[in-house]
This record gives sequence, C-alpha cells and structure tokens, in this order.
Amino acid sequence: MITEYFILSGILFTIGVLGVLVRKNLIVILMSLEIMMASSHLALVAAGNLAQNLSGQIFALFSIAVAAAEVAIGLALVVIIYKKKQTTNVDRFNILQG
Amino acid sequence: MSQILFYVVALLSLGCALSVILQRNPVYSALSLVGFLFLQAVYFVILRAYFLAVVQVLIYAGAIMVLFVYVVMVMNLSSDDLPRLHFKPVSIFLGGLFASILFYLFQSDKPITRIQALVVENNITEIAKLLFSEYVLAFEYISFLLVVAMVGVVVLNQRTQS
Amino acid sequence: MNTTIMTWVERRGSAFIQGRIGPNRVGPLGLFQPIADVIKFIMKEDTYYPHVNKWLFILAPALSLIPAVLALAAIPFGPVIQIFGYQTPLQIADLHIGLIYILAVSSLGIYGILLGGWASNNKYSFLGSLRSCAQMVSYEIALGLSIVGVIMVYGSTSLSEIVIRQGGSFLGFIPKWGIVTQPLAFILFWIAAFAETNRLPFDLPEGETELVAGYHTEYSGMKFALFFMSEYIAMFTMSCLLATLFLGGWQFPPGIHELIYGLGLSTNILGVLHFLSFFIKVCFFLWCYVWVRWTFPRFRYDQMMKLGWKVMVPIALVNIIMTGFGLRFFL
Repeated sequence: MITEYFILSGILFTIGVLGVLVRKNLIVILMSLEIMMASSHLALVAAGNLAQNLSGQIFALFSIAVAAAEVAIGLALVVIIYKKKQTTNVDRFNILQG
Repeated sequence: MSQILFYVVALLSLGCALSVILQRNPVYSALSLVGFLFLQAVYFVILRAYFLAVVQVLIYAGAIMVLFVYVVMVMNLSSDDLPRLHFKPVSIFLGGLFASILFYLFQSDKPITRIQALVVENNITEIAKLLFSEYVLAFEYISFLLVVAMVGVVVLNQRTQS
Repeated sequence: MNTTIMTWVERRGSAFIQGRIGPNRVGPLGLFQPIADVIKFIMKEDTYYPHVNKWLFILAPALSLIPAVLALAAIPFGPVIQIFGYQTPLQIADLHIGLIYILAVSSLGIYGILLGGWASNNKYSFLGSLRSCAQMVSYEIALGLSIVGVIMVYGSTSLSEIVIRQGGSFLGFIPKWGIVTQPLAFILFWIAAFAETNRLPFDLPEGETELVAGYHTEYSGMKFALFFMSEYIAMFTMSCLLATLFLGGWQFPPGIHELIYGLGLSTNILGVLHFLSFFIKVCFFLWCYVWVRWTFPRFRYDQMMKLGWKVMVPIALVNIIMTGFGLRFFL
C-alpha cells in the first residue's frame, strides 16, 4: 500500500517537472513547482508512516513553511516583472542576454 | 476501504495535476491546483496525519493558493497571448529521462510492507513535543526564514512603487 | 433553518433600532416572511448574462456554501447524552484538532467569493471580491493568533475538551471562561469575526454606496440565496465559536451550575439544559451582529487594513507573550 504512495508521488513529481519544462507562463511554472513540492510532502508523510514515527510529518511541516515563503517571494517577483514587461511569457525575459 | 478511497483520490489528483499544466487559462490552472492540494489533504487523512492535513488546507489551500488566484485574476492574463505547450525536443528528452530514472528506482526496490496506523491517535501533542525538543533549531530557522521572506516581499514591492 | 430565523431577526431588529415596524404581514409578527422569501428565491428566474463565465458562475455559490456548512460539524452543541443506551455527544465530529479544522475550512470560503466576482466579469463584482479576499486573509491572521492564547490556557485544540476545561470557577463565583482568562483575545476574536464574515462595520466587499452590491451583483434567484445563506451560516459558526471559546460553551454560569446539578436531573434533561445554555449565548452574539450593523458606520478601506495589520496583529502577539509569562509564573 505504501509503495503506491511513492509511485504516485513520483508520477506527480514528473508532472510538475513536465509543467516547468513545457509551459511558458511564469505563473503556471510556479504552480508546477508547487505540484513538485506537494508530491514530495506526500512521499515524506508516507515514509514517516512506514517508519512509524512522526519525523516524516515534521519534515513535511517544515517543507510547507518553506513553500509558503517561496510562493510569497516568487509571486512578488512575478508581479514586479509583469509591471515592467507587461507579460509573463518567460521567453521575453532575456534581459541578461544583452 | 481506505484502499478504494486511495485509488479514487489518486485518479482525481492525477487529473487535477495534469489539468494544471494543460489548461490554457491560468485561472483554471490555479483552480485545478487548489483541487489538487485539497486532495493532498485527503491523502494525509488516509495516512493518519490529521494535523498535517488540516495545516495543508489552512496554509496551502487557504492562504498560498488564494495568493495565486488573486495575482492571476488581478493580472487578468488573457489565455490567448501564450502558446499552449511548446514541446522542444530537449524538454521531452529531459522529462522522459526523469520519468525513466524514477521508474528505475521504483523497479529496483523491493515491495514495501502494508500501511499501518500510527499508534498515537492524538498526534498534535506528540508533534509539538518533537517540534520543541528535537527539531527546535530547525523550527527557529524556519521562523527566521519566514521573517526574511516577509521583509523581502515588502521591500521588493516598495521599490517599484517609488 | 438558522438562516431563515436570522433574516427575520435581522429585519425586525433593524426596524426596531430605526424605529420602523419592519415586515409584519406574513404570519404572526411576520414570522413567515423568510418562507415567503424562499419561495420568491426559488420561483425567480435564474438570470445569465452573455459575458459571465458560466461554469465558474454556477460553481461559486456552491463553493461558498460548502465550507460554511462543513465548519459547523466540529462545534460541540452540548455534553454527552444517552440516546437508546448509546453515549452520544451533541457534536457531529469530535476532532482533536477541531479548532484548527474550523479555521482551515472557513478559510476555504474565500474561493466562492473570489470566483463569484471574477466569473461575473463585472468591475464592481470583481472589486468587491478582491477587497473581500484581502480582508479575509488579513483578518484570518489576527483570528488565528488570538486563538493561540486560548489554546495555551486550556491546553487543547479539541473544542469539546476546551469546553470541559472551562467548567468550575475561581473563588466560587467567577467562571473559568475564556472571557475571564483571555479578555484581550476575546475582543480581538470578536472584531476579527466581524471582518471574516464581511459584516458591518467591515462590509467593504459589498459596500452599497461604492460597489452596487459587491461580488454578488450579477447573481439572482437561488444562486444569490446560496451566497446569502453562506453568509448567515458563517455568522452562526462564528457566534458558536465565540460562545465555545470565550463563554464556556454549554457550561452553566457558576451559581446556576450548582443549582441545576442540585436538582438531580437525568443526563438527558441536563443535556437539553446545557444545549439551551449554549443556545442563549449564541443568540446573544447573533443579536450583536444585527445590533452592530445598524449602529456603526462603515470603515474606509485603508483604515480597515491598518486596523488589521498595525493594531490587531501586534496586540495578538503581545497577548500570546503575556499568556506565556502568565502561565509560567502564576500557575
């Protein structure tokens, strides 16, 4: 039963990776990052259940806090970039290419 | 019972996750993500991590995703200005590589034992005890990180206004 | 049920405060007016406009009602009673994380409002929903932080557990209720509860003078009724929470407690009396909602945000620290 959880979290993580690779909208890319984060929480909790202690849940708890901070900063950056460029298409953000 | 529930929820959440990356309109993507994160809480309930399930709903679905939906709606991105997908060979190659690595890892492991209930039913006190004894340093780091993130966001958005 | 009675109370109450008569035609004292309202809501045509986003337009009212109803499940209405020999608590689900559960579920109510405003594709609706979203997220923080003090004092996140620990008294006549042990948290929670339910003086999302009717401008018929019901159910939940956390839930006040327990009644009759005690407290808070609505003017938006972030959150944090010191040195 636990094996299914790991497989599921692997599949979800792959979907997240695909989302980052395939989409061009910066916000959707951030969302794909969230999918990856969430799938890793699932694996952590499942592993904690397997080991019969609460460490997995506590790691997931910390990870959720990190995700919250990440989203706050990420969205602030997206909003700033959108104000400057009027788009969220990642292909337009080539300011470093000179 | 919980096994059937797991498979139903697994199908639903796979659908939600695919819908996040395949929808043209970012608003629909964000809503699918809300559904996905809510279903994640259902997994936590099946795994008897009740506190985590509630925290998941409170923080992810209640706060983080509201931010997402808010930003997407305020920007009012029309769905047409962005191409739906762009399959470059390199992205397909990387995705396939990643999937095959995961597949290999799962293949090489032995099947793992069945799910068992954690003995502690009221696990919020246990989590609190661990959090303030064994993991207290990590806890402090996390609170520091959150403060830094908060200050960072405020500073970032102030600079653009002036 | 509670919605129908509350609409009657609200209309009669507002009339009472403003020196009018209010709806009094349908039934005795106009008590059947809500039923007439419901019939009207059902019979009315459900209007659609070509510019609305149809799926989300239908989904939004349901999304705002479901969390409101879900949150009610964890409220303890009374102590354990016996029905046909079974021990049954007067509570739908006795969760050991009931308090956080209610916070989590009620935070989901934002989506209904946000989607309703966005799907209507109308600038007034959208502005209203954005305001409501920002307001609810900000005041949720004050709400959560004010609860922390209560959790610290009573040492539990289970609502039934908190109520049981509020029994007894100091010096024989001061009840061990949350309002005595956590007066600051009580005031903060009360203010934040008004903001969470989008009621006056925090009803900026639907300020009639600025935004027509806010996020439900485009709604009519049964879909509007769903929004309406979810607002009243949220009010009821918040009143229940206030009574549970700060007024001892179904506990009697100290003097009456000894009196009633001296009568030697059976468990079930005691249960009913306890339920009545809870119900009276809830009714008091519900009446306060109506009372405040017709007494205070609306805040300006920046004033409201300032109150939430610069006044309530710091006070809530100070309250937590003071509670910590109090528990350390006085108990």
